[in-house]
Amino acid sequence: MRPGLPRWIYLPAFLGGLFVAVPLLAVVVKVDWTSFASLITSSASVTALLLSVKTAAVSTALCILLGVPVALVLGRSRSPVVRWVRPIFLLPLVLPPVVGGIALLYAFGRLGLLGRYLDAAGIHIAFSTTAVVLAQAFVSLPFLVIALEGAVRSVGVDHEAVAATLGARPTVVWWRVTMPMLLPGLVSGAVLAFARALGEFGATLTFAGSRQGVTRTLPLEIYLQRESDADAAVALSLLLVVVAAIVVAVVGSRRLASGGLTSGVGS
Amino acid sequence: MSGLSVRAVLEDRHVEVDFEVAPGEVVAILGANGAGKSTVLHMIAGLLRPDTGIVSAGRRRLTDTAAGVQVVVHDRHIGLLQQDPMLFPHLDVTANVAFGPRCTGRRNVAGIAEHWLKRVGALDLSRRMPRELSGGQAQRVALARALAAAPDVLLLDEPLAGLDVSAATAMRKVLREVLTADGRCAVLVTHDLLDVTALADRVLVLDEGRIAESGPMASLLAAPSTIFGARFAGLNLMTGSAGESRTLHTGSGDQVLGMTMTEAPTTRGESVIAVFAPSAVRIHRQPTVDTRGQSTFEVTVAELDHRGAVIRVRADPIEDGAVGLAADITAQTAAELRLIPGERVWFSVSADDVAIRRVG
Repeated sequence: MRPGLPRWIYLPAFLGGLFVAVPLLAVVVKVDWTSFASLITSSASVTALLLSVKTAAVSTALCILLGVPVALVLGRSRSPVVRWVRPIFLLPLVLPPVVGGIALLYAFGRLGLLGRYLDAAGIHIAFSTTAVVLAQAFVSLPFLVIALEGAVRSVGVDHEAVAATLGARPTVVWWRVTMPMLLPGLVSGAVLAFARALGEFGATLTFAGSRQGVTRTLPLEIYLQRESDADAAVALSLLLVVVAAIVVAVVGSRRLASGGLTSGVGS
Repeated sequence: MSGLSVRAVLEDRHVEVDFEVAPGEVVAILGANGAGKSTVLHMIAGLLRPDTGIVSAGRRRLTDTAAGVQVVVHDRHIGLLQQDPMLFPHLDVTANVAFGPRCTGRRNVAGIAEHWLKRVGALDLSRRMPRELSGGQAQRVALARALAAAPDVLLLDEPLAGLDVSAATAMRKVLREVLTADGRCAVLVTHDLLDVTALADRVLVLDEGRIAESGPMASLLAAPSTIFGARFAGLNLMTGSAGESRTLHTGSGDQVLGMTMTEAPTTRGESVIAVFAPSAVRIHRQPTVDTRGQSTFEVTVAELDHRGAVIRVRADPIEDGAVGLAADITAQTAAELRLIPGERVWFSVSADDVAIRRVG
């Protein structure tokens, strides 16, 4: 027999597994399958779902736009300033989303730090669909940055040096060597960011409110329905569970399992 | 047609070199690990900036610290082939080779890639992805890629070190054919005697960041003047000061008798070296009685190693910083002596087999 784990450790491990699996199973059990189709295709549900998908897609694009340069600078720069600034990008990861929402409100709200100037210019962000996108991007940016930063570190600079000796200028190296080599990391990071954006609740509610068709995303719709129509809430919950499961299947098996995310956090 | 001229100092790596490479010439840089070989290549490629110095290729001044000139890496036209082929994993073989010409906006990119793949004998691999290549194939493609960028100078940093014997042999042949075919010059960093004899016109031995020895390979092998050069040539080398007629006194008090090969006889007190082959060394259990014309050293056996029918006995260093002396004995002698590492024995060598020369 090979020396291995003490046998008793399988018991708490099994309990841990149950702790995660039972609530998910409870949702599946609770679903009213006869009216499932009609519940998730009700006008309020479809509106919320479409809004969720659209805003999550836009915020993911925003995360890519901002997160790629951030990850490259964090992963490559040896400047002490960058080392000091790095934790700021991780802060939204551990911050309660509602606090994030309040922070956004005091930055972009009508009386906020930037908001008062935007307001004067006729741009109102708070409690609009734009606010939903900003709230989602705020909480999901660290997911993309961490996943990508890990990839940036592991890819290294040697291929880039070779590309330069072949006559490629820095922008060409970035586009034709760095980005293609980072693509797997970018895909993982983007899927994680998308999933996080899709599930965003606290920051959205605080910063964007809950206006049907404008800011009421699927999680907000579920929370609202729970009061009036529990069956609908359960059906929509299952929908989000399925989406999350797909994300874990796509990314998790490759990235989370290989420690891509955790190594990024730890370093 | 362009040569290379390097005069560079980099303080924190303790590197200070000054050498030239003629158009069409291949210069090999030898030296122990940490001697600064790769640092020299990186300064030529522009990946490192010397504290002071001038690097020029042909008429182009690439680095001139006094004038504040530092041409960026991608404008230097210096090719670099390393131990790791570093092919771009997301591009197929043709696209890898075409990378340089495409980046510099040349015409007929596909034609250039095909030409160089043919030159290195890898045309049949053109559609493959890098992960589908063996180490030797990948290194050939990397060579084609470096040459397709039309560098004025090609730098090779142990290009065969990662390959097995047969792949290295094939690659060495390819390198000999293409390295300087268009009058370009090349600098080769290596640990391998075969690379040097097959490819290099001239060698530089780098020791602690400085050029300790330089000249044609044949003369280095015949008469090395540095410990590294001697070890590379497979010879023993001892340093010391000249004593009475044809003797060398080491720092530790040993005396070496030998033949003086330099034109003028050595004068007492000047720095000299004694060079002799391991095969000329005899090993004794007791100090030899008859020492006329013999030099004897008491040494500690460090290791035994067999190479074919010969047993190489390497002794612990007897002088500060010098590598241990080596003796080649037959398996039969080894069996009679029953040597074990750590034992004290006596090495002796006949004066006829020892060359004593001035340093430098």
